[in-house]
Order: sequence, then C-alpha cells, then structure tokens
Amino acid sequence: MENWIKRVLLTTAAALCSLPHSLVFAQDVEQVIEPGLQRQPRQADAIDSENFEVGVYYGIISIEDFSSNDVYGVRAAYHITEDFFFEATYGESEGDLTSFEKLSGGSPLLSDEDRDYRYYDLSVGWNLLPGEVFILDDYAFNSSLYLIAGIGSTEFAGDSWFTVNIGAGFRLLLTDSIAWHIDVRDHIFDRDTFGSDETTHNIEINSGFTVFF
Amino acid sequence: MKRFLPNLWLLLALLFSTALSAERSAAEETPKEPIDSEIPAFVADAYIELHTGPGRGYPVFYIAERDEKIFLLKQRTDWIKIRTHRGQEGWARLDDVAKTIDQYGQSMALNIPQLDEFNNRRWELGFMAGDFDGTDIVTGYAGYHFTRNLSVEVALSENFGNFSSGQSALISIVHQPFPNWRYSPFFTLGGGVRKTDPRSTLVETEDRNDDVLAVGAGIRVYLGKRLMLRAQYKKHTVLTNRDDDIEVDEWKIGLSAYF
Repeated sequence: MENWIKRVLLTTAAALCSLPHSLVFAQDVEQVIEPGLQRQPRQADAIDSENFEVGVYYGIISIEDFSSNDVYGVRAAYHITEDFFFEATYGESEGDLTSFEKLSGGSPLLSDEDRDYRYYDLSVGWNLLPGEVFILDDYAFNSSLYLIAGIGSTEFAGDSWFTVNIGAGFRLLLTDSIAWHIDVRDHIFDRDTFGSDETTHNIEINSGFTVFF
Repeated sequence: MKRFLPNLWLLLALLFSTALSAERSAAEETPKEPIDSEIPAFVADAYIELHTGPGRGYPVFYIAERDEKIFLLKQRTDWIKIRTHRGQEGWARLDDVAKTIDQYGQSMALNIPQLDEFNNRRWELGFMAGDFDGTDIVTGYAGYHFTRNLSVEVALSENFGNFSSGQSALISIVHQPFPNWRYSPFFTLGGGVRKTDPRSTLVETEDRNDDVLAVGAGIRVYLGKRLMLRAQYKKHTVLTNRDDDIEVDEWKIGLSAYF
C-alpha cells in the first residue's frame, strides 16, 4: 500500500517536473520544423518567351534599269515591345539586261558576276495596325500591318552601296508561333555605275513564313 | 519566274490548311493538367483580364477571378499567354500576372525578371549609321553585359566611300560607369580586322586586310520599354603594312534594345 502511494506520488512529481521541459521541447520542435518549409523560387527564366522570329521569303524585285527579277531571302526579327521590332534581312537576286543592252545588241555593260544583286537591311518596324482577321465562321487570326524603315547595304555592279529601305508589311499569325508575311519594300541607293550619281529606287514585293521562338 | 508562282501558292495553301487544322484541334481538346513547361499560379488580385491577342487593343473575352488557378504558358513582349483551369486560353499583361501568386503563396513578381529588366539586362542588340572618315557607315552589333558596368560587344560594319568601301569586325570591352542613369555615358576599347575594297570603277587595285584598334566614348539614352538610343565616337587606328598607320574618326548614332 505504502509502496503504491509512493509510486503514485513519484510518478506525478516526475510527470510535473518533465512537463515544462516537454512544453519547451515541443516549442523547439515547432521552430525546427517551420524553417524546414524552404520556398524555392522558380527559375527566373521558366516562362518560355517567344520574342524572336526567323523565316524565309520569296518575291519580285524591280532593279532600276535592270528589269524585274525574282528575289529570295531570309529574315530575322526581335520583338522589343508589342509596338516595335528590329528586323534583319538578307536577300539575293540578279539584274537582267537593260533595255539599252537588249536593243543595241552590243556587248553587255556588266559581267554576269556583277549582275548578282545582294542586299542586307537592319530595320526597325512599328506595328501600326494590329488586329484580327476573321475567316469563315470558325477562325480568327491575329495580324498586324506594320511600317518599317532601316539602313543597309546593296552589292550590285561590282560595288557596295549604302542603302536606305522603307516599306510596309502585313503579318498574319496562323498559330501563336507561325506567321505569314507580305512585305513591300523600297531599297533606295545612289549609284554611279553609269558615270554620274543617280538615286535608284528598287522596289521589292515578297511573301514568306516565319517561326517565333 | 512563272514556274515559281504556282509552287509558291501551293506551298502557301498547304501551310494555311495545316494551320487551320492545328487551330481546330487546339480548340477541341481542353487539357486541364499542366505540362512541364507550364507554370501554375493563382490569381491574387480581384481579377485578371484575358485578351484574345498579345496587344492592348485585342478584346477581353474572359475574366479570371481571385483564387482561380491559371497556367502560364508563354511570353511575348509584355504579354503572357494563360490557360485557365476551365481551358480558356488568352493573353494577360505581364504587370497583371505579376500580381498572381504561385503554389507556395509567393508573389509571381519574384519570378518575372522582365519586370526589372532594366536592372537585369544581359543582352543588347542594335544597329547604327554614321560617318566613317567622310563615308557612310552601317553597323550591327550585339553585346553581353557580364556585370552592371562591363559588357563585351561584337560589331560588324560596312562603309561606302567614293574611292573604297570596307568591312570590319570589331570586338570591344565597354565600360558604363553609371548604369542607372537615363543618359548613361560609356567608354569602349577594342580591336579587330578590316577589309578595304577599292571601287571597281577605279584602276584595279588589290583588296587589303588590316588589323584595327579602336578607342571611343558614347552615350546610351534609355527611351523606355527596352529601347535605347545610342550615339558614339570612335577613333580607329588601322595598322597597315605600309609605312604609316591610318587614323580614322567615326561618328555613329543608332537604336538598340536590351533584354
């Protein structure tokens, strides 16, 4: 009996003594666990951004004095904002015979090699009229009519010429990532191939496809 | 020429029809579960407006409410494509998406470096035109900022003169002492190669290849929205294999974008 009472008292005392410790311990445990919720911020570049655009085009260019010929090229663009983009293009064509060469029947003015027409342009474009195009009942495509202007180089008749380009284009987004372009561009440069300096306008119309990535 | 046109139209029609069918299949299936590249988020603001396209003029066709689960699909300029848990897809402003929270309850703004792009800028792309010793010059360049102050740039140029044209490739170190200024000056030092082609109308002379050293200074003007105006002066020393090196002044102005 005495033993039993002693045991109860001792156990109670022991329990009381250990209680504050266990409370403290419990608090410790909570503190240990909480910082364990390490919040890992997602990688900064996790959202896939599609601001670059590359593609090819094909069209016709009227080379002043050297008739119209087909032109093909590549285009790359970086979209800075919804309004503005940079565009780099490189195209190749070939000058035909001038009317004089055809009529006179004499020797050609330029060698075949010098008739190669190559240009590149660095331009800035402005999405002037963004909008949507509706086809039949079910389809709506985003589109934009843009104005574009820039500088570059034209290699023709054995020399390179500082070239300014201005133009306008239409971009139709077939999907979020594939676009169809129609582009009209005037390449303006001063040429002294025939002696005196003359300003030439070389108007190009082309169409092509691009992919955003 | 005439042979090409029918082929072109054929190709065009083909691509157009594939695009149409792609559009249709996208409309039919409305997956609810995200795939790896999609980032789940919750609307924390009162609502988010979804536009039909990535531009301010596109109409709003859906409004995602507070606490609604959305998935961030991709970004174009300042717009983010979003899919709602109901399957609607549309474009929301980056600023609005910044007010959403991720699955840990943290603001998405922390994860969108574009919001602080001015301070996080790494790449710079641009083109310039100007005067190179009395001739017209065109330059395209790309730069990488490896610290706030220092960047390395590669520039390709072509100049067009009455007696000779030339092309050059230069690599430069650019130091920008005050990167946070709106009108921020910079100093540049670099070297490269230059090819000079005498004009074909002149007597046959050979093309020359020379090494070039260039030192210069300029200013970047932040126009806002990732766009900068840039003006610079460079002094080029062309190390010819003749008796004298040639010194050339170059002035240029252009536009560039950073991202």
